[in-house]
Amino acid sequence: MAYKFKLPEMGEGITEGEIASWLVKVGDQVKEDDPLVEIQNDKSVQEMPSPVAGTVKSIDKQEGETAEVGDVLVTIDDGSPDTADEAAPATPAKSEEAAAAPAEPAASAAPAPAPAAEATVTAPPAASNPNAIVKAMPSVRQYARDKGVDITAVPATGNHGQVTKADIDNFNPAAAPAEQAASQPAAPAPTTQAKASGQAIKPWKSGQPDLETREPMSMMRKTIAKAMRTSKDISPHVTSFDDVEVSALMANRKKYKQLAADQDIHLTFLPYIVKALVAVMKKFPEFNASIDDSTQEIVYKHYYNVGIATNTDHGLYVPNIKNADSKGMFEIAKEITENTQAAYDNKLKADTMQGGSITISNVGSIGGGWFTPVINQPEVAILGVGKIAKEPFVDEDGEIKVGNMMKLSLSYDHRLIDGALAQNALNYMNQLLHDPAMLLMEG
Amino acid sequence: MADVEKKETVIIGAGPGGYVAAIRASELGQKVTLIEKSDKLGGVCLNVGCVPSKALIAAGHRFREANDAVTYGITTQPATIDFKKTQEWKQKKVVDRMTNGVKMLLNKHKVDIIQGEAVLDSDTQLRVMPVGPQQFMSTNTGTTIQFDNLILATGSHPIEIPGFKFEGRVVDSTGGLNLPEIPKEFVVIGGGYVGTELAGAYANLGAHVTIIEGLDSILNGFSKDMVSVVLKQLKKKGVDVHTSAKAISSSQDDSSVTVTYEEDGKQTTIKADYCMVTVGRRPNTDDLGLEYTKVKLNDHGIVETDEQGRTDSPHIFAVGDIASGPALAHKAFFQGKVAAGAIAGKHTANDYVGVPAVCFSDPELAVVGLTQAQAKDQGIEVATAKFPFAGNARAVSLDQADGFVRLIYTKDDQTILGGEVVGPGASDLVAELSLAVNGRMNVEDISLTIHPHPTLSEPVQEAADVALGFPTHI
Repeated sequence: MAYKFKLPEMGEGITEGEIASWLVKVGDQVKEDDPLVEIQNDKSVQEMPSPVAGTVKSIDKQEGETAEVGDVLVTIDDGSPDTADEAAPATPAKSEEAAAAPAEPAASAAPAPAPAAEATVTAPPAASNPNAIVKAMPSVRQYARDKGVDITAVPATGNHGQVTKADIDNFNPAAAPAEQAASQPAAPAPTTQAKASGQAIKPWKSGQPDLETREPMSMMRKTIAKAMRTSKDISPHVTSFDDVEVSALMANRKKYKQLAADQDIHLTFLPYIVKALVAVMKKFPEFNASIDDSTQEIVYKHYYNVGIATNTDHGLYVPNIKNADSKGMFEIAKEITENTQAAYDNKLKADTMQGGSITISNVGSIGGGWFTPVINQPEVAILGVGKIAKEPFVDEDGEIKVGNMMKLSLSYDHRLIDGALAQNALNYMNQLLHDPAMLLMEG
Repeated sequence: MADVEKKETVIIGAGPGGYVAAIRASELGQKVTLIEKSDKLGGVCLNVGCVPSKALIAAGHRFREANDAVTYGITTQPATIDFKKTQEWKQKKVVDRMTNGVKMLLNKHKVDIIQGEAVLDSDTQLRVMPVGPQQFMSTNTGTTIQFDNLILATGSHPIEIPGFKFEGRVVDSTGGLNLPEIPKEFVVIGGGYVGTELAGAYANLGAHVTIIEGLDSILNGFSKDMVSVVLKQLKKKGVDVHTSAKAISSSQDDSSVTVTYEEDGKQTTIKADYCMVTVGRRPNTDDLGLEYTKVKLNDHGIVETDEQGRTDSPHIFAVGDIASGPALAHKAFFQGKVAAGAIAGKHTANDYVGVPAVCFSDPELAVVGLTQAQAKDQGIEVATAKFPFAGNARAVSLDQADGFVRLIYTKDDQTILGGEVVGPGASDLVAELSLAVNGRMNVEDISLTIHPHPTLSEPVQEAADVALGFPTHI
């Protein structure tokens, strides 16, 4: 009678989403592939098409609610018969064994041997996927819980695929998705992990709750919080500061601004910085890399996707300019504008935000100076761009002049990038922005 | 209204789940109050369950051996038994000693023990009522206790079936353990763990025993080839086993009980001295006042909890027979420790991979982890390897060479998922298999571990050798 549309898998590691908006209402006729609903997950909005044709019978999750993969979102009457498993909701393992424990009258004596009962806690993955049996000694499982690590996600290096304590120590949750994508398409939910691992979360209460209001964190805020915390957990951050005199850059921009405008392109300083970063990454490949902790490998990337942190009233996004090394300045400018608009309209696609090389965080446009940006994992560096201020500086001839000084803050992952390397890279960046003609040579 | 006492961690029930939780909670720095309605500590297991039954089983073995040693060239006058003395030994030297031990341990850990019946008022408060006949119009409404955290460990009680009210010569397992004499005719309804164990014990003590089981096999849940080893021994002792048989009714007079049962559509009666009904246990969750809390029960009266034993009421935990998993004391021990740890903020979890289960039949049965059929149901491809005790020198020298050890392991990488033992010493051998299952070891790990010779442990290693295709003694 009815087709129950469940939240499908939406990509690696994504296990829940918020209902952004319904595109249908109860009673609507839908055709196959008609858009049903917009789902906001970790930073992107996806439109879900209907797999069947029929009449919308009920909306089972309301806008603003969070659904987990597998949750029924909408019921569509497509004339098909109810399937057995839809009619009878899956019985949790618990009640099955309870049925086994107290035996039926005149059946076997108590307590019925129920060796199946061990399935309760750890077996669910095993039940669905035999390959998901976690091989670990009980002490290692305890250690993983103490560390708040979901052991099912930890790559094993011990004998015969046993997860060892060292594996737990070396586990990098941010590096894991890539690893999992290959071996285990259905990666466990990060949020469910936290719930299941029973991390001790201490409640926080002040002495004057009447002077405070509490509101639940939005999905986006939770995502940002988690991303920031994870990044700081994984990467030892160091930030180097510098300022660069950019009068020539300003002049160049001024010169071509109108030409760009004629082509409907808004030329800001960002495309120059994108180009400069590409040059930096080419010269210092460590800046275009990630660390795979599970294998202790450095992954060097041969693509140049430069992310630009984009602030909107509904959250922070980092869409990246794909293959910036093969794009011209105007093309990059145009793409930045498009991505920004998409972010504002909540229409950014997930892949626009994946596979980044390095990120630019620009607070200069709203008057910021130096700061310590947080690396966008699994990248290893982020460039913070501050405002351009009129300040005295000493030029090449030793003269004090009033310059246009741009503030740069480069945060890098000290596991991979040594201090001297970072300074050399920043010096080079400095040169490129001071003398934009160099960008033609190197960018 | 009586004064309200404030307590830190309160535990209801001093059985295996409760007393172990109390000790662990105390070790973790909590001030613990243990409420027990009986004047004896230790619960069913120590007082009227696992422990006293082991004593009777041991007495049965001694008696049989005393009369049955011709094989070894020993002839004796028929041995006699003074069952009163047997019962006295069981109570004083075994049960009392163990329950006193629990009391001593609880005292050592400064656990405050209150005798009384606890009833919950809310998610944070309970009343302890005095036990025993209450005076009409008594003003004693009990002591009110507010708790920070509560562990429910109230256990279970035997199920009664229609036509067999527990009275006189119709007894539950408790009565069956405390018979004043060895029955000449003994009827056991329900051939599960408890029924089969006591049927064997009384048969060894000289009773003629009849087992009436509703399902098509006794010891349902154990693999068929394990059960057949036990059946062979029961037959040797003259025990009649009726399966797919339904107990209909009972009637009794001063000196006997008459049991009527139906098998193959035909009703038969047996006149016996005693009839013991052991058809299962039901969790004690009905009269606890749980309806005044957020605690949820499933259809079988089992408390619903998370991995740590926490109920829907965040400061109330449940362990043992009232919680998920098999109703076995060692599972209750584990859950008790997990709950106590959870209250202390530790990252404990009931994430055991397998719970061993043992039946002290002749010979013993023991299992842990998955059977071949259960693995198959979970979609796991498994293989099995079996080694018989007939190929084990120690078993042969004990004249107990019936039975085998079986390993159940994954086909792809030979990870051990389950173990089954039927034979001498099975109850102890399963500990090694439990370690292998819970540690996710593989058959090679067992094969490469030296086992002492000549011992009953060798068949475990030999079964692993069978799995690897290089058996020695077979």
